[in-house]
Amino acid sequence: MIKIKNLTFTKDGKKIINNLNLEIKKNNVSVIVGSNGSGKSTLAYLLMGLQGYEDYQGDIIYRGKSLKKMSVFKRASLGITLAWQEPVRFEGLTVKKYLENSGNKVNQKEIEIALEKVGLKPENYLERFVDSSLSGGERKKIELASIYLMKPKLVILDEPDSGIDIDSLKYINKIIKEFKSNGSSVILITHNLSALRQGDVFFLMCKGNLLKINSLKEIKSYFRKKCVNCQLKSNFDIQLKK
Amino acid sequence: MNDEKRILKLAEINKQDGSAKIVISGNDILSEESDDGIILKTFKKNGSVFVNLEIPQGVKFSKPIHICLGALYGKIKQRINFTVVFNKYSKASIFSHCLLVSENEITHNSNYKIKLEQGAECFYFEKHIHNNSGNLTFNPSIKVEVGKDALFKSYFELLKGRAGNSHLNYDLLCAERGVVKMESRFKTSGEDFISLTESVALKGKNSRALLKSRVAAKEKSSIEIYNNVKAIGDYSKGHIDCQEILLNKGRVKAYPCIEVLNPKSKITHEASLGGIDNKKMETLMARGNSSKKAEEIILEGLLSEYRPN
Ligand SMILES: Nc1ncnc2c1ncn2[C@@H]1O[C@H](COP(=O)(O)OP(=O)(O)OP(=O)(O)O)[C@@H](O)[C@H]1O
Ligand SMILES: [Mg+2]
Repeated sequence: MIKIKNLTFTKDGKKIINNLNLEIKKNNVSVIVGSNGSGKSTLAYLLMGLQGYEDYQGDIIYRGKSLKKMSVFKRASLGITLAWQEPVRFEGLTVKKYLENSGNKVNQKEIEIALEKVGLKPENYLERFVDSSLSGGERKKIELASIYLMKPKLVILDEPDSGIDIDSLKYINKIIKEFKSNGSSVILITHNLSALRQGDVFFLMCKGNLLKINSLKEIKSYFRKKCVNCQLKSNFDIQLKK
Repeated sequence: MNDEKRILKLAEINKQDGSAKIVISGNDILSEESDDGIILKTFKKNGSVFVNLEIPQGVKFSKPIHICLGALYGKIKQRINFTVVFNKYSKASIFSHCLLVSENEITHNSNYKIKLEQGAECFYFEKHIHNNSGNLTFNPSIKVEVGKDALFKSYFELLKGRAGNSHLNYDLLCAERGVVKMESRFKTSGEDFISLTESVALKGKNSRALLKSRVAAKEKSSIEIYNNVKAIGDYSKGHIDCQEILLNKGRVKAYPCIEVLNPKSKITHEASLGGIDNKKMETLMARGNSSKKAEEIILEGLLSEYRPN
């Protein structure tokens, strides 16, 4: 579905993504873990083609086509979307209106279903504003509802579980399952061990590169032992140590 | 349809709602009615319309007082003078509907004097519907005296039609524990020009002011906002929250002038001038909206019409 070839990205003189290769198959949940600042969000922005992230070396191929120079809107039209780690707030825009504009011809019933899927009661939220009056967790749930309505083919979820209470994690896990059963692929960036269970393939991000990990068990141990306060220069050091 | 009916229709007012209603077309008073409690006097002098309104002491009206100002046809020079007195502990809302829809040259000059005595509460809502030619000049000048423990809350909206050449001038004086909350939302297009000046003197101890504006300048239009807040009284507090967006070749300017004359007082100021925030645009675009659609959605929210909570 998507193939990343020798991707290198430098910002303000700092190499953030370093010759990264990755292939993501259809109908698949790829989990990316890695310490703070390792480049996970940057990879997400590069995939979505955000402003300031258009200029990279290497290539990103989506269904056989290079995404180079393709706008965010164009990428979204091809079915790619991103849930930001910190979703933005919109003054004066109601949840209803916001969700109406998430994907094609969304009707009221579908909006209500989407809100229920993320554990929010429609009657309590439809008329509220997507502004700073929502809590961080509520805002993230609405973002997920918005993505759900879009019926995307490739979903990049940047820490959808951060700031979400333990009881609500089940909604996120369910939605990810549903994406998969509808034939979508998910790139799930997370620090949450429970979300890892959703994964089909696992990657460890370290200093701008990805290391493929074979099993859930393995990534758990990498995650716990090696990636906290990591002293390594790159993921190749991990391979050498291994 | 006669002029009065047309004005009421434009203002979306039903016969029953309102505790008082004044309908003015050009410089003619078409009708006036008021509840027993409201003291209303209208007259014409030297071609100008005068309206005196008084809310008796301690009386609280739940239904609004509607003032409808129409400039419906032809070339019009409208001159209006309002004097409004809220006696002690009275409360009322005034909805001013400015329907400057004649496509010909409109000049509107108005003078408002609003006095709030101790503990009075006034909600002043001004909604504009303008013509599409932009051939209009709108010069209101509003002076408000906010007494001890009184509250003046206003909401100005110009979202339908062109702004033409508009100069809005507010001048407020706030006594002890008096509160001022003002919000303005407007947009300009074509070669429109709006300047909004809000000057507040926080004279009384513990007086407060909040000035909020949300505006957008499109095409070749321009907007200038002057917020002048002066903190004089002990513990007086002011806050300015100004967001100006420009699109195409629009121009926006902000001139905050804050002055604190008392070490126990504080004024804060936040302003953001620029295009639409990129992350907002990209979020909506990542959901499949074109940049044009995303822009519309964001502006519609930011410049949404007033809805009573
Ligand atoms: N404009 C910039 N200039 C310099 N460095 C930057 C810039 N933007 C991001 N970085 C750096 O790039 C690195 C990767 O950031 P990124 O946000 O992708 O990390 P992350 O893996 O998502 O971290 P987290 O787990 O905290 O979300 C960080 O070290 C960050 O400081
Ligand atoms: Mg991140």
